[in-house]
Amino acid sequence: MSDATVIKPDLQFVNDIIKGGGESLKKCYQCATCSVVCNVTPDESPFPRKEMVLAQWGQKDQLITSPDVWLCHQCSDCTAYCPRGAKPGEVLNAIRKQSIKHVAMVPLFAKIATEPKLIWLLFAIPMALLYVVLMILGTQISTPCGQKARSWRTIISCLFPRSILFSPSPSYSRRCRPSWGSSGSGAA
Amino acid sequence: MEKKYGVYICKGCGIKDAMDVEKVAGAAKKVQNYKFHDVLCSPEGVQLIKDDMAKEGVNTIIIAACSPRVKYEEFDFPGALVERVNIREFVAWTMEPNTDATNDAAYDYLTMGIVKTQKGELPEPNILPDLSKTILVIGGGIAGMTAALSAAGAGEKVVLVEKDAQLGGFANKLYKKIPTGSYINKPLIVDTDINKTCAEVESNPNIKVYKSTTVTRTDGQPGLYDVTLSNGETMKIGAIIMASGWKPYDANRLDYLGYGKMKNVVTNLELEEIAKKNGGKLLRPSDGKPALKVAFIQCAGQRDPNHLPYCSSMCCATSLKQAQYVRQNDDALAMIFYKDIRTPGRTELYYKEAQNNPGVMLTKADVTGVSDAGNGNMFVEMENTLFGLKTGEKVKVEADLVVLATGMVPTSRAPQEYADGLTKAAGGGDEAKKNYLEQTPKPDYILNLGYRQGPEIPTLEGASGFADSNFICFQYETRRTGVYAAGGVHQPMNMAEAQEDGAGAAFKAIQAMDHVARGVAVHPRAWDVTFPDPMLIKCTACKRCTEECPFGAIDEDEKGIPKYNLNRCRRCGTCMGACPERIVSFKDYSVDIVGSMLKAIDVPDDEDITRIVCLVCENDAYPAIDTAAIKRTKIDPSVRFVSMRCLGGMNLVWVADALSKGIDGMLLLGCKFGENYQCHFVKGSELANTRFSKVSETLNRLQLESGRVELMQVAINEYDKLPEMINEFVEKVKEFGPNPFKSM
Repeated sequence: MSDATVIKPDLQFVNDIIKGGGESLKKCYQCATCSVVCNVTPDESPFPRKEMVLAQWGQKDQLITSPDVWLCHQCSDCTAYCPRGAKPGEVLNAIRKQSIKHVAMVPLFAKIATEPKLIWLLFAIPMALLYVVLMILGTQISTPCGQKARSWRTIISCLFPRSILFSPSPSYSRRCRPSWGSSGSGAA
Repeated sequence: MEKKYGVYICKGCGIKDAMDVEKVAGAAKKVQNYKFHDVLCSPEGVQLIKDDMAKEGVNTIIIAACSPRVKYEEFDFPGALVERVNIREFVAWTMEPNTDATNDAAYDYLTMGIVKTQKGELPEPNILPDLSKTILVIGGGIAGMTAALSAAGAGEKVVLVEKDAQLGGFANKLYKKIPTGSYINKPLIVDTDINKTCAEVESNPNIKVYKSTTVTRTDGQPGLYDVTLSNGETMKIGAIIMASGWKPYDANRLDYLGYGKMKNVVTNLELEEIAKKNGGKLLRPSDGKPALKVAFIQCAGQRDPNHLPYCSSMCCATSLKQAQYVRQNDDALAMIFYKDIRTPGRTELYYKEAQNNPGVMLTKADVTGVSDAGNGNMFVEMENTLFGLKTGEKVKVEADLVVLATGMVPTSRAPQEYADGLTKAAGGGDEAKKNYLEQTPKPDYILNLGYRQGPEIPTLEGASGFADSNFICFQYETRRTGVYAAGGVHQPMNMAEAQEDGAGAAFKAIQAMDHVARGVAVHPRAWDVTFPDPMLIKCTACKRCTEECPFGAIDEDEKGIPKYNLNRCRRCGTCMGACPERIVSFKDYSVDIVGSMLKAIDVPDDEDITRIVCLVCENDAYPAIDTAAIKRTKIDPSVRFVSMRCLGGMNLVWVADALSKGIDGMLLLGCKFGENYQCHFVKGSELANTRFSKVSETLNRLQLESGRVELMQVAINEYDKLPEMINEFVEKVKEFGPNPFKSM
């Protein structure tokens, strides 16, 4: 039987998925209800039933390089219909997380992108970068408001006007309110 | 007893509207005393009958009302011979109202009922003397011990016989067991605590325990067994619980899975022994190293026509349990390869919990073999797994210990195979039989019955050697009355189920002894005090009754004359149908009684009027007709139903009786053939069909078409098809034309 594929279970990968949000992974008993209800299951592959068994057996190599796990747009139909509460949608999410870790060029970025508690860094890093750039460029650029920048503070306040961020002006909210309500009553 | 008749005709439930009750009552003219009542089952109606019994001495009561399957509590008159004539279901609810045909039918039914009471007698129970009330439990495993404790708890004396030197059975070999309470957030493996149960049994004052002992001889019948033990002791026994258990399937036959060739391929039972010996550590047999990659191959030699054709039902949960042994080591993996995970009942919840462990990995797979992977490791080779996308895609997984989930073989199987082999050899002549006896090792017998039909529970088609009865309605029942099977010898089951089974069998055994003490049949006719009473002076010793009795109730004396063991009998009447001399009778059921009833049917000379007799099995066909009647399905009014205890009691003389009288056709309605179908008396209708093969002879003698007599198989739930089947038969008979004997 030289043509047989050798399956090597990887318990660490199973634990990684379970830790990474796929704690329901082991509940799957391969009934394939998920594949039946899934809108993006290709005809030739029982998705995500197959991903579930591969994940249960820690088939890391197959999963992290699989384009299939990126098919999912997290509609959660599978999770809703799963008779055992195995939440395939959540498990796929956890698999994608492992996939990101694998393909990320800078491991730190993968870590930031996959750890919920580091999510603020996603905003903080560009902000910090901008901060640094503006610090360096300082007064040498003109602001979008047309004012001559006196300091980086002026630039920030022009980029993010206080009125939009904190207290929208009455004229702004009027403009943005849907108008069909009043036109409807006008027609009547 | 001087018979004083009373005929009571009920007008309720639509009877009055469907027929001219006065005309019908004409049938009762012979016995003179007949009365009507609007609602006979009402307290007033019942009182009417009771008053007649008290004041006028009525002792033979004919009630023309509803089916005897209903209102049996109201119409219970101890001390009187009671006959229920079913003019509600058979006539009022199934025929066109107020036609001559309908009136004729009701008239005939009433006539038949009266004839039956004229011919019959008030049955008296036959209670045999010196009945024992001790229960013998064979086997001291979990099922046997639970049976013994249950019976002892109910106040019965119990004798428990165990072959081994200690009680406990297979539970002794287990490292841990599946807990019996909740599994959720609880340990998934717990101590068996079998020693506690053993101590409880041994200290119970009602239980006498014999260890290292077997049963060498069982003679007699329920209530009157004479049991001899291997230590020479003899005792009187009332009923027997057979809890002799199971043996693991011989794994040496599973060499394609590497057993016997590779040291690290073990059976599930051997894994228990390894775990127990090493305090839970799973050390490989080859080098004593801890196993880190353990493969479980489910259905090893099971659900496989070459090995055990059935599922042992406990192995999936057992492997899930043993996977927890593996996972006591955090680095170890348990890989389970299954055909289907079958965890019946509560064990499904166990499956859910056991599966949750990250190191317990499962996949469906067809395991094709186990090959050497070096260093004592193995490759488990398989195809059609859940990993692949194509059928036949091959996969292999390396393991350092392979566990085969082998199945349960009942201890009753070897004796059955031996007996069947002997019968087959005996068919080849005395020489072949002698060779068989010399060459075949005799297996361990369990009961050693002194019955003519053989020493053990007979083979039941489809039961694969289990001492089961296959009867839906009679759990724990075997084909030997008074012997109840529990545990692994009964059906494949786990420990928790064996405990339930033991308790159930204990109560059936108590019930059997109670019935015997009251002189009623054990089951299914649990009210029946009649019994077969053969007129042996006319017996020709043809042995047909002894051969055909489905329960081995009839032995032979030295002269070859049948010896009826009343307490083994279930009152089906198969012997009555078998007897060519027609000498077997019950007080209210005999060849003569049924024959006279058939002859009492009024057959008009009018060639356009058809008369069909329909003999129906009381257990399936009769209730099916009742149900059809409740649904008001129309049945041809030319049909007259006659209830049979079992079609196995069909005597061919009735065909001649009916057809020579001018009855145009005869239909027999019985159970489906084969032992797999749930005939209450094993295979009564099949037996009737065998006898039926000779019916064309009778018909030819009468110069009649053989199609006038037919046997149909019907199940209790086929009430929707049944009227159509009957009506089609009537049409067919009408096409033959009238019976030429009609006008004679």
